[in-house]
Amino acid sequence: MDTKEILKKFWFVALIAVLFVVFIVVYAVNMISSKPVEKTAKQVDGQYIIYSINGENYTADELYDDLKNSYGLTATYRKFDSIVCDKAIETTTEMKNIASSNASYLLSYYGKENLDKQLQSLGYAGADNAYDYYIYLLKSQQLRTDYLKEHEAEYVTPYVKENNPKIISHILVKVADVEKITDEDGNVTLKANPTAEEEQKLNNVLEALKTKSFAEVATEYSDDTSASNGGYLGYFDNTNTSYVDTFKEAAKTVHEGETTEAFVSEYGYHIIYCDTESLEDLYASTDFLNAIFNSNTNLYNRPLVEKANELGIKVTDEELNKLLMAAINPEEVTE
Amino acid sequence: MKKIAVLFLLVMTLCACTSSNKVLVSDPDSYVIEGGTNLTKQELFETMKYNDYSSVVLGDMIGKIAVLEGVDMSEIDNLVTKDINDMKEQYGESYDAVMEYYGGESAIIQNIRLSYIGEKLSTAYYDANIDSLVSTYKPMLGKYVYFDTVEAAENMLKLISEGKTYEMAAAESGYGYSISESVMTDKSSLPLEVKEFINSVDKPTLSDVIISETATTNTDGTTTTNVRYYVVEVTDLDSNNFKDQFYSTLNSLVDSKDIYNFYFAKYNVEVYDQRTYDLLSSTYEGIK
Repeated sequence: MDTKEILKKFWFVALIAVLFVVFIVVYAVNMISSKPVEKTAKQVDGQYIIYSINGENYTADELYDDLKNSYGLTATYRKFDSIVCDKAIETTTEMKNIASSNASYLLSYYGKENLDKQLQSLGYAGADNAYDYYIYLLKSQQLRTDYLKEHEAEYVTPYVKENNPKIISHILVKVADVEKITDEDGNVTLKANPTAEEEQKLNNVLEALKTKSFAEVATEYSDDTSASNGGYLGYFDNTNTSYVDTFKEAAKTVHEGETTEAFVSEYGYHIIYCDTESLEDLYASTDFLNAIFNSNTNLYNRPLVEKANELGIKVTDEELNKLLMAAINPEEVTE
Repeated sequence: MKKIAVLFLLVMTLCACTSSNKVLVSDPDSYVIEGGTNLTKQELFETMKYNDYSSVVLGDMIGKIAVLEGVDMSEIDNLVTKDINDMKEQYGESYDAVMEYYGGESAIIQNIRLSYIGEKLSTAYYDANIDSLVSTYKPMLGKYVYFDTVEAAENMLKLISEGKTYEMAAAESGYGYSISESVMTDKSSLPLEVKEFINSVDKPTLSDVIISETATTNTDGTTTTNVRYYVVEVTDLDSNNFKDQFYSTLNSLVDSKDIYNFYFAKYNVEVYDQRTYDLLSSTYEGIK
């Protein structure tokens, strides 16, 4: 009998042998994998046991209740927000592309192990959920942007009127010697004492601005780190506290398409350009959205509450629902 | 028949390859959120378990151990209530805001409670392991002073030999700090030469001048040698006579992990849930 005939006759034995080998290999791989000890779930009277101490059991239900006390509100809020956003907002191709690109970036930036931890702290299983996380963020932003657009007259227009939001770029020509001059009344003004080289650079900038775009000139001449991004600084409004006073005052006065005169700050000469004041552009800025939400108590979660009601999404655990509503819809919660 | 047998074997093999260690809550499929993508109770449980909840489980374990150790829990509760009332009085109207800032009143109460239970368990651990702790740390009660000159140290010894107390002799020799008797151990941050002395005595003893030299490297690479002249008096070597002080010293010497591991082993703590085990076992090897 040749091998073929033996296999044909005893194929069943051969199959069992193969399965046995597969089992041994999988078992061996499990044994040498990173988990040093494999725990096996235990049940007593139909209850799963987390641990026992001197024979007394701590059950999964007890852990669930303890975790609910510590993390229940946060976990429920995240899930609730995510479920509402998921049902309310369609996943667009653009969202998929952004999420995919950002997830890849996160993985390369943090590495698998750190990204696992980061995402677990946000209620996800691990690094593999980075894409889902970004889809959620984008939908969450979309939900809230849509709400602001629908309620523009109520929330956005008054804010814009009061705080002049805009997107700005700038060029810095560093001057090493900037003098602080205090007058008799104690008012401080700044006077630049540029070297010939610094003076020449400023002149080159002013000359170049006559023929080239602001971004091109910023990239070529600016001494600020923003030069690599065409001088782009991003969102600015009258409530800004990040920049030095002279910069803030100049930025407040510039409007869409305008460029300021060169002015002096502690760092040297600046020229600011206002990229846009258009609402459509501003809606794309998370800083703008945050500024609106921060200026209105409880506004951030109002789109969530309204959309959840509209879609019939609710938290059915009474305890968690009470906690959640007190956190996101305090105006409606009565004692 | 053969087909059925093969199917059975396949199922058995797959089961063996993916041995289940998933822990379920009661009524796992009931909904916590519904109306969109429904969220089940089990899914919320799994989500909450992504957090590092080791402190939650440890708190529960320690509470149970305290009961098994016979700790008077009503005494603990009274102490906690007193502390909370003190805080209410101290912070007045800001009390709620302060509580919220530090994680909420219930979390703070739990921390205070665990702190008191920890003290009780530490004391019980020291009682149970006193022989080994004495042997490890070699405690003795004593006092020490140091001078910058050998003359001052010698003068102090001379004054003591003439009948002055340790404290008076130190002060008259120019030592300007208050002197208190303290527990000195093998692990105290004392110069090596002083430790050699205290380890060499077997009865209350006054030292000779002990010279301690320490070299420090300066930023420019040069070395400076600091010399100090110690006068040490060991007053008691029987830790039974200064038990409270010794235990107080042990609080800063003994790692709380060792204490918990002792109790986990003593009360046969066994974890069956993989995630809980992974969170705890890296720190507490006493957990099985």
